[in-house]
Amino acid sequence: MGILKFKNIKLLVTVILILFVSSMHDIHAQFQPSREYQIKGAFIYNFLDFVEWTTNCSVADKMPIYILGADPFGSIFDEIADKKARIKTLSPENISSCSDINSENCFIVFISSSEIEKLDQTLDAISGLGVLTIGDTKGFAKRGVVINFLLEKNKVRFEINSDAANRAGLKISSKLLRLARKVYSKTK
Amino acid sequence: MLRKTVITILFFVIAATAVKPYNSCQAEELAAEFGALSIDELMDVEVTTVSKKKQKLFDTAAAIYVITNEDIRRSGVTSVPEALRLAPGLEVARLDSNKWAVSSRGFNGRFANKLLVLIDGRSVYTPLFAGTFWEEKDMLLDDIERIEVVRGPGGALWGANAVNGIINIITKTTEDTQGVLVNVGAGSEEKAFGSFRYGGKLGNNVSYRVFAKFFKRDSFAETSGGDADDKWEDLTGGFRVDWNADSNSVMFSGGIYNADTGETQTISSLQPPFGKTVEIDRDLTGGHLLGKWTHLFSDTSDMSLQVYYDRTIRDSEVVGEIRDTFDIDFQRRFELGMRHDIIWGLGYRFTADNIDDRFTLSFDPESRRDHLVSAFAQDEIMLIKDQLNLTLGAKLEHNDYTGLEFQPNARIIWTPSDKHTLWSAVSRAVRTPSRIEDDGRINSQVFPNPFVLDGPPILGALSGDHDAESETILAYELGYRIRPTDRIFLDFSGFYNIYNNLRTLEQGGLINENSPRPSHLLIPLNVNNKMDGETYGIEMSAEIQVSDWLKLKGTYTYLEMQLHLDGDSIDTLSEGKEGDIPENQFSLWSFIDLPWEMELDTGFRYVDNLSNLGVDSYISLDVRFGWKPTKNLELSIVGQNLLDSEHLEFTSSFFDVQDTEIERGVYGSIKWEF
Repeated sequence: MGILKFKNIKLLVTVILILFVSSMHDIHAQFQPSREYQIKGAFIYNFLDFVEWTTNCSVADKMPIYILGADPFGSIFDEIADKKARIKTLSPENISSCSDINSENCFIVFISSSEIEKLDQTLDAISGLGVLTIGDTKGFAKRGVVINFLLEKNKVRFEINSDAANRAGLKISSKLLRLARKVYSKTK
Repeated sequence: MLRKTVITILFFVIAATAVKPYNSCQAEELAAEFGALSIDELMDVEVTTVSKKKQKLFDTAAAIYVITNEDIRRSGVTSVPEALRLAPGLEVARLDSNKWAVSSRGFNGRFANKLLVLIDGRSVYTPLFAGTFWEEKDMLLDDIERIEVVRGPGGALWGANAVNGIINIITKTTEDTQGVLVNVGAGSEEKAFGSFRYGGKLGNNVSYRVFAKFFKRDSFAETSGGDADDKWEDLTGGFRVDWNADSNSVMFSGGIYNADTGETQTISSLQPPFGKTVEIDRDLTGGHLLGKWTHLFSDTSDMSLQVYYDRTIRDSEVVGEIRDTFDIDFQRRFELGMRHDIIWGLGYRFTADNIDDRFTLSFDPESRRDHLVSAFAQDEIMLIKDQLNLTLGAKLEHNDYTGLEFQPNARIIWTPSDKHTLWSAVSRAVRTPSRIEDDGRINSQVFPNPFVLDGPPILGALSGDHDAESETILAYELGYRIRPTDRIFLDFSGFYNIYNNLRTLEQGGLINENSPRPSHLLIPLNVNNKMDGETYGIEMSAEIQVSDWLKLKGTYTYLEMQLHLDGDSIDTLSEGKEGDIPENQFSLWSFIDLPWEMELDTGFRYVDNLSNLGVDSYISLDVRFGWKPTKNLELSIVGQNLLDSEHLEFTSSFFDVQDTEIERGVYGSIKWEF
């Protein structure tokens, strides 16, 4: 079976040329959130169904989500909201410090890994205000962030600090607690 | 038929590319897709897709294929050589229950000598015949993080004897093997196996693991019917410790093994009846210690020092050998200016052996100490940022067989977009003579004297030559990788190799020989290097994530060998080796994730005939069904070689070993982790 006959070489070269040309279009798109953050964004939308605010703040249909520090989400929250008719939507805003927060409603703060040095100060500043804090840096849940994402075996997982949730006046449904990889709680 | 298949595949790929171009539209679609999932469904979504996992591989200017731990688990293979069947560009033929002939790009044989095999940087190639005794190198498959299969000469980085390829087996760090793992199973050919591993931590910076593994394999069938006596029993154990501080890390590992293998072989003797078929019982024992220290200066600058000691003991009716190896390697990597990424290194290896001669196999001298000193350097030059890279490298070695050897190579890679890449390489590499080619004598066959009644018998023997030369290769390679979408990855590579000084066996004239007694007439086959050759071929691999629950992996390998004896050669065997390799090989695996944590994995392969060895082409089917009833428990049932009750894959060349056919088999296993 002399596969290296001329007509077969021609065929192979044609195939490779076509593949080559069809891949030439460049991707000069604006910032594209990575797949990892698309998945995390979808998770955050889902968390809204499992978290109840019991404090004085009002839960708006358009809940603000403040992204503190480097913003890996881009337009993700808008895209998810646009394509599926949801009653509760998230309205993102990228901030560089807690003093930029001026909402009277309940809100979510996503603490980026860039804020790791200032974590303790940040948590002190926003604790007790009915804030759902979310992060995705190793150790954040243990240090007081309510929900912390982690990656395990190529899938997105999360851990929950239920003490921090209680302090913030949040009631987390048992279903979400069961799905969590780990729950930090001093009261066991 | 071929054209239609290629055109169909092409249509599929173009359609996939046209329908879902990866631009902002697709990103939005993806976002919406995830937004519509429930939280339970989101828990199942994979972060890194097929194409992203392959980023590092994508940027490499070499014909590299990575066999992952998942590939090994889902294919149901039970040994490293069987796992190697998953890669393109390798010829893997099972001789019997305990022996394999593995090579890359030609020249396969039980004593294939052009492939370098490393486990965590420790070379497991034996200088006895310049190849690998696969039956000695068992390990806990669950400990393997990945196997990097690089086809083509790696002489510049890895040194001599990496002529046609390098297989790098990398084990998991101890951080990834914490807790208890117990795996037991039994079957028709895999008679019984069990392994235990425990991983723990000592303080913040130190983690470790220990393991022990036992297995017993049944014999396969002789071509003439009946049992082949090729049983295999093995007990292996080992440990690994990792210490990590800020910029320093130390890895320390060790292992010991004891194996019992067998085969039926016809051993010659100078006394009538001159040849006796015996059941060989081979005792293999050995152990090693390996230490590696790495210091990181920065992201792009580091240095490492590796030291290992290895002892292997082989004992059988054919030969006895004790070998000690000591190796020390230093490597330094750093950036020079904006455009140069430089690695350089120094190495020293000492190997000492003590051989117990038998009639069949003997060496002169019986004991030998060899020193190998080497130095290498490599510069990766960024010609156009993120698009065009040129790598120049060379290794200089001094060995005790041929003196100084120089192995340079040049590689270039062009990445016009993040969807495809084109690379090319030119390399020179050498295979230095082995102990057996230099000093060995194989007393192969004895015949009664046809001329004189009761006259001295005639002995055909292979005789080494102290002036044996290195075989050389000049290799030209070209490769292309494309990922038209997130879910499709295609890899093509082609090569053209020119060989010189290939080993031949020159038949000498009849000589009277008195030792060993009784007197006999010797027909010597003297080792020489009077053959040239070319090999060329194409290797393709494809990985397609068809849907969230179905992944397909296929490979195709085409290989052609042309060998030419020098004008003055009187060898009659070596040119025929053109027919020792299959011209075409094809494999297709489908991995299906079923509901309720069940998995169904099916692998099909076709291997062309080996015309010189009288081995027919064959097709083979492996099926694995797996189930994880709980988070910690995994049950699997694996059927192997299902299409034929038995088939022949290879026949032995040097020694008159009984041809053995590989039988159909089924085994079940239980894996418990916590």
